[in-house]
Amino acid sequence: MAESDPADDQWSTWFHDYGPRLLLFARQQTRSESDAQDVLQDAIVRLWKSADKQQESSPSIPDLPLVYRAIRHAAIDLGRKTDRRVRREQSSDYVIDDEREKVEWFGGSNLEEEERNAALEVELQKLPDKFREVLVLKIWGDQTFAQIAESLDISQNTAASRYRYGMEALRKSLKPEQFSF
Amino acid sequence: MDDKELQQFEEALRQSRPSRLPEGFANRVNAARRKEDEVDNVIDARDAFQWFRPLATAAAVAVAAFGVILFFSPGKPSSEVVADKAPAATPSSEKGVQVPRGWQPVKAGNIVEDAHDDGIIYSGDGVLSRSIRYEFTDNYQWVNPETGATIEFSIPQESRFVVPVETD
Repeated sequence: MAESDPADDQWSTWFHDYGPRLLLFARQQTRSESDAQDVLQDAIVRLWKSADKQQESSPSIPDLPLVYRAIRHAAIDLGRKTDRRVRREQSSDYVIDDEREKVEWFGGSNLEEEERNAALEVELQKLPDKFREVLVLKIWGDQTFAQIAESLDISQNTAASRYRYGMEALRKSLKPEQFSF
Repeated sequence: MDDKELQQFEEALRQSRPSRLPEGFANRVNAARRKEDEVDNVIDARDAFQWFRPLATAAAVAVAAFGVILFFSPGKPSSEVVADKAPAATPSSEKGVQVPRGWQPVKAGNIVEDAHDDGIIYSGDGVLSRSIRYEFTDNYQWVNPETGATIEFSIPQESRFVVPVETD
């Protein structure tokens, strides 16, 4: 029987715990569920390789801001490739199947929660990207403004003000009775 | 919205939890990570393979020298003898060979594929010599005991030997 690798087990457990919030962030950064999953996988593999090279014995789990940053960069890379591909396809006779798979961003255990979460997802998607990514990192990523600033390459003040604007806009668009505010 | 309202709204939003990972996705990501390690090991193995080059070259020279002797032996079909007498693959667990992580070398050797007599030549110092070309194939095999995967390298090479001819 193969001997288990402690570092591998550690990463697997970590991904099991943090994967949902990382995937939620990846979904903000991409245009489809499959892209989000590809981007997250790419980021994790890159971080694993990089950690493995830095520490020969046991690659340590990376800090979350670094992971979010890696996801964002992977999404930017994918976006560039996709844009080039779409331009190529649009200039040819190739027909693009633009139907995207539907995946809920938030999980609910009953109908009421599902409706509330669906409304939240819709309104989040209406927010400008720069507000939405800060909100997602702050609320569901448990990141401080300092960490958000590091992940997104912006200043802490910018992160804080985007958060404030985003929260104001989101609050106006959601039904108070659904969210008890 | 004041700070208190903001905090309440935050708490309300936190009640919504990110959905669980899609079925099989965590396994897919973990498998991708492990696969990356395997690729690295193959690269390591390829790099470590360089350690075998001197060994292989030494074996090739020995075979070639043996072949030269047989080539000039009267009454024997030289080219066939050279090919038939090539030694079996050399075990690679030689002392001093560094085994890359996760892989074990199981075979390293070479065989003489063919020999060509290019005839008499004059070397730079005016000595009459015979030029003989040998075609070798170096073979290497690595195995990963954990997965059973096998890597085999075969590298063709050609060497020319110049043997002085006695003209007395």
